[in-house]
Amino acid sequence: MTEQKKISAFDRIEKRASKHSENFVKKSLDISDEVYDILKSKGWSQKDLAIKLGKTEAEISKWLSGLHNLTIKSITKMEEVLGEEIIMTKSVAKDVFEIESALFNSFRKTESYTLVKPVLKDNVDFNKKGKVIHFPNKIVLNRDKQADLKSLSA
Amino acid sequence: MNSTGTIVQFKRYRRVCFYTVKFEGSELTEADKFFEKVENEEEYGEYVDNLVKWIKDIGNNRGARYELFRDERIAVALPPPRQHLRTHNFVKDLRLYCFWVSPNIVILFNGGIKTKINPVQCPNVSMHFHNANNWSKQLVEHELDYNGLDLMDTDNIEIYD
Repeated sequence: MTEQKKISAFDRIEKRASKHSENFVKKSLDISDEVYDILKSKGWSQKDLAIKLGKTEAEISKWLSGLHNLTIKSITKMEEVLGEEIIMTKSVAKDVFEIESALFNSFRKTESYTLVKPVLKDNVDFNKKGKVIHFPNKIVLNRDKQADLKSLSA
Repeated sequence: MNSTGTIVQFKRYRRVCFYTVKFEGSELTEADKFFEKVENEEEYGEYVDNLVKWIKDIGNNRGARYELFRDERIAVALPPPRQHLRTHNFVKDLRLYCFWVSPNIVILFNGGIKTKINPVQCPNVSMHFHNANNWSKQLVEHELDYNGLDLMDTDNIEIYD
C-alpha cells in the first residue's frame, strides 16, 4: 500500500476543498454581507435591489448566496444602484480611512464646535476589518474644521 | 454475493459521528468506495468538494438534523434538500445514501452521480439505492442502541448484503 493510499479519498477531498472553495466562499460571503449591511442601512429589501437592477429576486438571491461567482461588472452595477462602494482595494481603503480617521479624531478632541454642515462623506467609517460601518448621525463641524478638512484632503 | 458487513466509524466530529459499513473481504468501507469513485470526477469536482464540506458542517456545526437529509424511502441521502443548499452551493446530481440514526449518528453507505429523477431508473445509483434501503431495513430491525455520538455494541450488528 502506498503512502498516497493511506490517506482516504474523503480526507484528500476535504484537503483540496478547504484549500480552494473555503477561501472563495469566505470572500463571497464578505461581499454579500456588505451588500446586506448597505441594504439594511437604506431600509431596502433584497426585492428593492432586484427591481433597481432590473433582475428577479431569485437572481439577486443567487448573487448574494455567498457562492455565486460575482463578476466585477455585477458588483459595479450593485454599487451604482446602492450609491455606495461594496468593495475597495486596500490602498484606496487606507487613503479613505486615514483622511476620515484624522478628521474624526480631530473632531472628537475639540469642544468648541457648532453643528453646521455634514463633513464625513456618505456618513461612513471603517471598522477594524476594513468593513464599512454606518454612523447613526452625520458628523458635522464648524467652519474652522471644514477648513481643516480641505487642507487634509488637498 | 452474500457477505456480512459490520458497522465501523468513518468520521467523528464535534456534534456527529458518521459511521459506515465494511463488508468482509472488502478492502474499503462503503463510504470510502463512494469517495474513491467520485474524487476525480472532473465535471463534478466542485460538487464533490461541497458534499464533503456539508458533511463537515453537519458534523461540527449543525448536527444531523433530520431535515438536512433527503428522504429515500427507509434510507436517506445527502446532499441536503434544495432549500438548504444556500450555504454550500449546489451538489448537483450527487447522492450519498445513508441511514439516519439520531441527530448525532449517521451511517453512510455508497452512492453515485444520479442521472435520472427516479433513482431506480438510474444505472449509476439504482444498486446503491436498493442496497441502502435493504441495509436500512435491517438496521431498523436491529433497534440500534446509542449514547450521544456512540453507537453501542457495533460488533454485534451484522448487515447482510
